[in-house]
Amino acid sequence: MSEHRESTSITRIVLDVLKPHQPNIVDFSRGVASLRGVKKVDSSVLEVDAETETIKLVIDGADLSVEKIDEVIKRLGGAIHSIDAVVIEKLEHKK
Amino acid sequence: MVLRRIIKRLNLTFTLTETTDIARRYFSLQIFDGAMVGIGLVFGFHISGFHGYESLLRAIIPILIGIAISGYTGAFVSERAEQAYRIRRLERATLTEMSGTMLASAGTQATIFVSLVNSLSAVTATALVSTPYILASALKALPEHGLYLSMIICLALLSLSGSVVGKTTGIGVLRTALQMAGAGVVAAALIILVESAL
Repeated sequence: MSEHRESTSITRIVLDVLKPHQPNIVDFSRGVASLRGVKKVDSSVLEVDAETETIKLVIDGADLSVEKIDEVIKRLGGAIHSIDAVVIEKLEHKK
Repeated sequence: MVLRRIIKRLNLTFTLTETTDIARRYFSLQIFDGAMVGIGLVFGFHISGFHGYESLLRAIIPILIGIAISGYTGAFVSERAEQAYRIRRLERATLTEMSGTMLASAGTQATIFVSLVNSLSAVTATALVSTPYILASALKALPEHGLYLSMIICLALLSLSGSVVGKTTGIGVLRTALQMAGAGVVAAALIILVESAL
Protein backbone atom coordinates (compact mmCIF):
# COMPACT_ATOMS: atom_id res chain seq x y z
CA MET A 1 0.00 0.00 0.00
CA SER A 2 1.50 3.35 -1.02
CA GLU A 3 0.74 6.44 1.03
CA HIS A 4 0.50 9.96 -0.43
CA ARG A 5 1.85 12.99 1.42
CA GLU A 6 1.16 16.52 0.16
CA SER A 7 3.18 19.67 0.60
CA THR A 8 3.22 23.08 -1.00
CA SER A 9 6.00 25.12 -2.47
CA ILE A 10 6.14 28.78 -3.44
CA THR A 11 7.44 28.99 -7.01
CA ARG A 12 6.76 32.65 -7.71
CA ILE A 13 6.33 35.69 -5.53
CA VAL A 14 5.74 39.28 -6.59
CA LEU A 15 6.85 41.95 -4.10
CA ASP A 16 6.57 45.70 -3.86
CA VAL A 17 9.79 46.86 -2.20
CA LEU A 18 10.98 50.25 -0.97
CA LYS A 19 14.75 50.61 -1.09
CA PRO A 20 17.44 53.32 -0.94
CA HIS A 21 19.11 54.26 -4.26
CA GLN A 22 22.18 52.26 -3.21
CA PRO A 23 22.66 49.35 -3.73
CA ASN A 24 21.31 49.89 -7.22
CA ILE A 25 18.67 47.62 -8.75
CA VAL A 26 21.31 45.33 -10.31
CA ASP A 27 23.21 44.69 -7.07
CA PHE A 28 19.95 44.50 -5.14
CA SER A 29 18.55 41.85 -7.51
CA ARG A 30 21.85 39.94 -7.41
CA GLY A 31 21.61 39.93 -3.62
CA VAL A 32 18.10 38.44 -3.78
CA ALA A 33 19.16 35.99 -6.50
CA SER A 34 21.95 34.68 -4.26
CA LEU A 35 19.30 33.03 -2.06
CA ARG A 36 18.97 29.26 -2.24
CA GLY A 37 16.09 28.13 -4.43
CA VAL A 38 15.84 31.37 -6.40
CA LYS A 39 16.13 30.76 -10.16
CA LYS A 40 15.17 34.12 -11.58
CA VAL A 41 14.69 37.68 -10.33
CA ASP A 42 12.84 40.13 -12.54
CA SER A 43 13.04 43.69 -11.14
CA SER A 44 11.62 46.95 -12.35
CA VAL A 45 11.59 50.44 -10.87
CA LEU A 46 8.09 51.77 -10.29
CA GLU A 47 8.82 55.10 -8.62
CA VAL A 48 11.85 57.20 -7.75
CA ASP A 49 11.96 59.65 -4.83
CA ALA A 50 14.74 61.84 -3.45
CA GLU A 51 16.17 59.19 -1.10
CA THR A 52 14.37 56.00 -2.11
CA GLU A 53 12.85 54.06 -4.97
CA THR A 54 10.00 51.60 -5.16
CA ILE A 55 10.69 48.46 -7.14
CA LYS A 56 8.65 45.47 -8.20
CA LEU A 57 10.44 42.18 -7.67
CA VAL A 58 9.22 39.03 -9.41
CA ILE A 59 11.08 36.10 -7.90
CA ASP A 60 10.87 32.66 -9.49
CA GLY A 61 12.29 29.50 -8.04
CA ALA A 62 11.53 26.38 -6.12
CA ASP A 63 10.41 26.26 -2.51
CA LEU A 64 10.93 29.99 -1.96
CA SER A 65 11.03 31.14 1.64
CA VAL A 66 9.28 34.46 2.29
CA GLU A 67 11.18 34.82 5.59
CA LYS A 68 14.56 34.35 3.90
CA ILE A 69 13.63 36.79 1.12
CA ASP A 70 12.46 39.35 3.70
CA GLU A 71 15.72 38.87 5.62
CA VAL A 72 17.93 39.44 2.57
CA ILE A 73 15.89 42.48 1.47
CA LYS A 74 16.28 43.98 4.97
CA ARG A 75 20.02 43.30 4.89
CA LEU A 76 20.19 45.17 1.57
CA GLY A 77 18.48 48.13 3.22
CA GLY A 78 15.02 47.60 1.69
CA ALA A 79 11.57 46.92 3.11
CA ILE A 80 8.74 44.82 1.68
CA HIS A 81 5.69 47.05 1.25
CA SER A 82 3.36 44.34 0.06
CA ILE A 83 3.20 40.86 -1.38
CA ASP A 84 1.27 41.47 -4.58
CA ALA A 85 1.09 37.96 -6.04
CA VAL A 86 2.15 34.45 -5.23
CA VAL A 87 2.18 31.13 -7.08
CA ILE A 88 2.07 27.99 -4.97
CA GLU A 89 2.50 24.51 -6.37
CA LYS A 90 1.29 21.38 -4.67
CA LEU A 91 3.82 18.61 -4.45
CA GLU A 92 2.81 15.03 -3.92
CA HIS A 93 5.22 12.59 -2.36
CA LYS A 94 4.73 8.81 -2.45
CA LYS A 95 5.73 6.99 0.68
CA MET B 1 42.76 37.23 -6.94
CA VAL B 2 42.81 38.54 -3.36
CA LEU B 3 43.69 42.04 -4.59
CA ARG B 4 40.82 41.95 -7.09
CA ARG B 5 38.45 40.92 -4.31
CA ILE B 6 39.70 43.76 -2.10
CA ILE B 7 39.28 46.29 -4.95
CA LYS B 8 35.77 44.97 -5.65
CA ARG B 9 34.90 45.26 -1.96
CA LEU B 10 36.29 48.80 -1.79
CA ASN B 11 34.35 49.81 -4.90
CA LEU B 12 31.14 48.39 -3.46
CA THR B 13 31.70 50.13 -0.12
CA PHE B 14 32.45 53.49 -1.75
CA THR B 15 29.44 53.14 -4.08
CA LEU B 16 27.03 52.14 -1.31
CA THR B 17 28.11 54.98 0.91
CA GLU B 18 28.56 57.50 -1.92
CA THR B 19 32.07 58.31 -0.69
CA THR B 20 34.00 57.81 -3.96
CA ASP B 21 34.24 61.55 -4.61
CA ILE B 22 35.07 62.29 -0.97
CA ALA B 23 37.95 59.78 -0.98
CA ARG B 24 39.22 61.19 -4.29
CA ARG B 25 39.05 64.75 -2.94
CA TYR B 26 40.82 63.79 0.29
CA PHE B 27 43.51 61.98 -1.74
CA SER B 28 44.12 64.96 -3.95
CA LEU B 29 44.12 67.54 -1.13
CA GLN B 30 46.30 65.48 1.16
CA ILE B 31 48.84 64.68 -1.55
CA PHE B 32 49.06 68.44 -2.14
CA ASP B 33 49.37 69.22 1.59
CA GLY B 34 51.86 66.42 2.22
CA ALA B 35 54.07 67.42 -0.71
CA MET B 36 54.06 71.05 0.46
CA VAL B 37 54.99 70.07 4.02
CA GLY B 38 57.75 67.82 2.62
CA ILE B 39 59.28 70.50 0.44
CA GLY B 40 58.98 73.04 3.25
CA LEU B 41 60.92 70.72 5.51
CA VAL B 42 63.57 70.01 2.90
CA PHE B 43 64.10 73.71 2.17
CA GLY B 44 64.16 74.46 5.89
CA PHE B 45 66.84 71.83 6.45
CA HIS B 46 68.86 72.94 3.47
CA ILE B 47 68.84 76.64 4.25
CA SER B 48 69.54 76.14 7.96
CA GLY B 49 72.82 74.35 7.17
CA PHE B 50 74.25 70.86 7.40
CA HIS B 51 72.35 68.19 9.33
CA GLY B 52 73.26 64.55 9.70
CA TYR B 53 70.66 62.14 8.36
CA GLU B 54 69.88 61.02 11.92
CA SER B 55 68.78 64.49 12.94
CA LEU B 56 66.77 64.75 9.71
CA LEU B 57 65.03 61.46 10.55
CA ARG B 58 64.45 62.56 14.14
CA ALA B 59 62.75 65.70 12.85
CA ILE B 60 60.72 64.05 10.08
CA ILE B 61 59.41 60.96 11.88
CA PRO B 62 57.47 62.90 14.57
CA ILE B 63 56.07 65.12 11.81
CA LEU B 64 54.91 62.05 9.86
CA ILE B 65 53.30 60.61 12.99
CA GLY B 66 51.58 63.92 13.65
CA ILE B 67 50.30 64.13 10.06
CA ALA B 68 49.08 60.51 10.18
CA ILE B 69 47.16 60.94 13.42
CA SER B 70 45.78 64.34 12.50
CA GLY B 71 44.68 63.12 9.03
CA TYR B 72 43.04 59.97 10.38
CA THR B 73 41.31 61.55 13.36
CA GLY B 74 39.98 64.58 11.50
CA ALA B 75 38.52 62.52 8.66
CA PHE B 76 37.24 59.78 10.99
CA VAL B 77 35.28 62.15 13.22
CA SER B 78 33.71 64.08 10.35
CA GLU B 79 33.02 61.03 8.16
CA ARG B 80 31.50 59.05 11.03
CA ALA B 81 29.10 61.92 11.68
CA GLU B 82 28.29 62.14 7.94
CA GLN B 83 27.58 58.40 7.72
CA ALA B 84 25.41 58.45 10.86
CA TYR B 85 23.44 61.34 9.37
CA ARG B 86 23.07 59.48 6.05
CA ILE B 87 21.76 56.37 7.83
CA ARG B 88 19.28 58.45 9.88
CA ARG B 89 18.08 60.12 6.66
CA LEU B 90 17.56 56.72 5.00
CA GLU B 91 15.78 55.40 8.09
CA ARG B 92 13.37 58.32 7.94
CA ALA B 93 12.82 57.82 4.20
CA THR B 94 12.24 54.06 4.35
CA LEU B 95 10.71 53.96 7.85
CA THR B 96 12.92 50.99 8.66
CA GLU B 97 15.73 50.30 11.11
CA MET B 98 19.02 50.33 9.20
CA SER B 99 21.34 48.84 11.82
CA GLY B 100 22.46 45.40 10.72
CA THR B 101 22.00 46.20 7.04
CA MET B 102 24.86 46.17 4.56
CA LEU B 103 24.45 49.96 4.26
CA ALA B 104 25.24 50.43 7.95
CA SER B 105 28.29 48.15 7.85
CA ALA B 106 29.47 49.77 4.60
CA GLY B 107 29.17 53.14 6.38
CA THR B 108 31.53 51.96 9.13
CA GLN B 109 33.98 50.53 6.60
CA ALA B 110 33.85 53.65 4.43
CA THR B 111 34.63 55.82 7.46
CA ILE B 112 37.80 53.80 8.07
CA PHE B 113 38.81 53.69 4.38
CA VAL B 114 38.28 57.41 3.86
CA SER B 115 40.21 58.22 7.06
CA LEU B 116 43.08 56.01 5.88
CA VAL B 117 43.10 57.74 2.49
CA ASN B 118 43.19 61.13 4.23
CA SER B 119 45.97 60.07 6.56
CA LEU B 120 48.19 57.92 4.34
CA SER B 121 48.10 60.22 1.30
CA ALA B 122 49.67 63.08 3.26
CA VAL B 123 52.16 60.81 5.05
CA THR B 124 53.23 59.17 1.77
CA ALA B 125 53.64 62.51 0.01
CA THR B 126 55.71 64.04 2.83
CA ALA B 127 57.85 60.91 3.09
CA LEU B 128 58.39 60.69 -0.68
CA VAL B 129 59.42 64.34 -0.98
CA SER B 130 61.80 64.30 1.99
CA THR B 131 63.39 60.87 1.28
CA PRO B 132 65.85 62.01 -1.45
CA TYR B 133 67.23 64.76 0.79
CA ILE B 134 67.63 62.36 3.72
CA LEU B 135 69.21 59.75 1.44
CA ALA B 136 71.65 62.32 0.04
CA SER B 137 72.64 63.12 3.60
CA ALA B 138 72.95 59.44 4.56
CA LEU B 139 75.02 58.60 1.47
CA LYS B 140 77.20 61.70 1.97
CA ALA B 141 76.20 62.96 -1.47
CA LEU B 142 75.84 66.62 -2.31
CA PRO B 143 72.77 67.97 -0.48
CA GLU B 144 71.85 69.93 -3.62
CA HIS B 145 71.31 66.65 -5.46
CA GLY B 146 68.86 65.55 -2.77
CA LEU B 147 67.19 68.96 -2.86
CA TYR B 148 66.72 68.88 -6.65
CA LEU B 149 65.34 65.34 -6.55
CA SER B 150 62.99 66.31 -3.71
CA MET B 151 61.79 69.26 -5.78
CA ILE B 152 61.19 67.03 -8.81
CA ILE B 153 59.20 64.53 -6.72
CA CYS B 154 57.26 67.39 -5.13
CA LEU B 155 56.36 68.84 -8.55
CA ALA B 156 55.35 65.37 -9.78
CA LEU B 157 53.09 64.84 -6.75
CA LEU B 158 51.55 68.30 -7.10
CA SER B 159 50.88 67.59 -10.78
CA LEU B 160 49.36 64.22 -9.85
CA SER B 161 47.14 65.93 -7.29
CA GLY B 162 46.07 68.51 -9.87
CA SER B 163 45.47 65.92 -12.58
CA VAL B 164 43.18 63.93 -10.24
CA VAL B 165 41.13 67.09 -9.61
CA GLY B 166 41.11 67.94 -13.33
CA LYS B 167 40.12 64.46 -14.42
CA THR B 168 37.21 64.16 -11.99
CA THR B 169 35.85 67.66 -12.46
CA GLY B 170 36.38 67.68 -16.22
CA ILE B 171 38.18 71.06 -16.04
CA GLY B 172 41.26 69.76 -17.84
CA VAL B 173 44.07 67.62 -16.50
CA LEU B 174 46.92 69.82 -17.76
CA ARG B 175 45.39 73.04 -16.48
CA THR B 176 44.81 71.83 -12.91
CA ALA B 177 48.15 69.98 -12.84
CA LEU B 178 49.95 73.20 -13.83
CA GLN B 179 47.97 75.20 -11.25
CA MET B 180 48.99 72.84 -8.45
CA ALA B 181 52.61 72.70 -9.62
CA GLY B 182 52.57 76.51 -9.85
CA ALA B 183 51.42 76.70 -6.23
CA GLY B 184 54.43 74.54 -5.34
CA VAL B 185 56.80 76.90 -7.15
CA VAL B 186 55.25 79.92 -5.38
CA ALA B 187 55.62 78.14 -2.02
CA ALA B 188 59.27 77.33 -2.75
CA ALA B 189 59.96 80.97 -3.71
CA LEU B 190 58.27 82.21 -0.52
CA ILE B 191 60.25 79.77 1.64
CA ILE B 192 63.54 80.93 0.09
CA LEU B 193 62.54 84.59 0.49
CA VAL B 194 61.46 84.27 4.13
CA GLU B 195 64.35 82.01 5.14
CA SER B 196 66.96 84.29 3.57
CA ALA B 197 65.40 87.33 5.28
CA LEU B 198 65.78 85.68 8.71
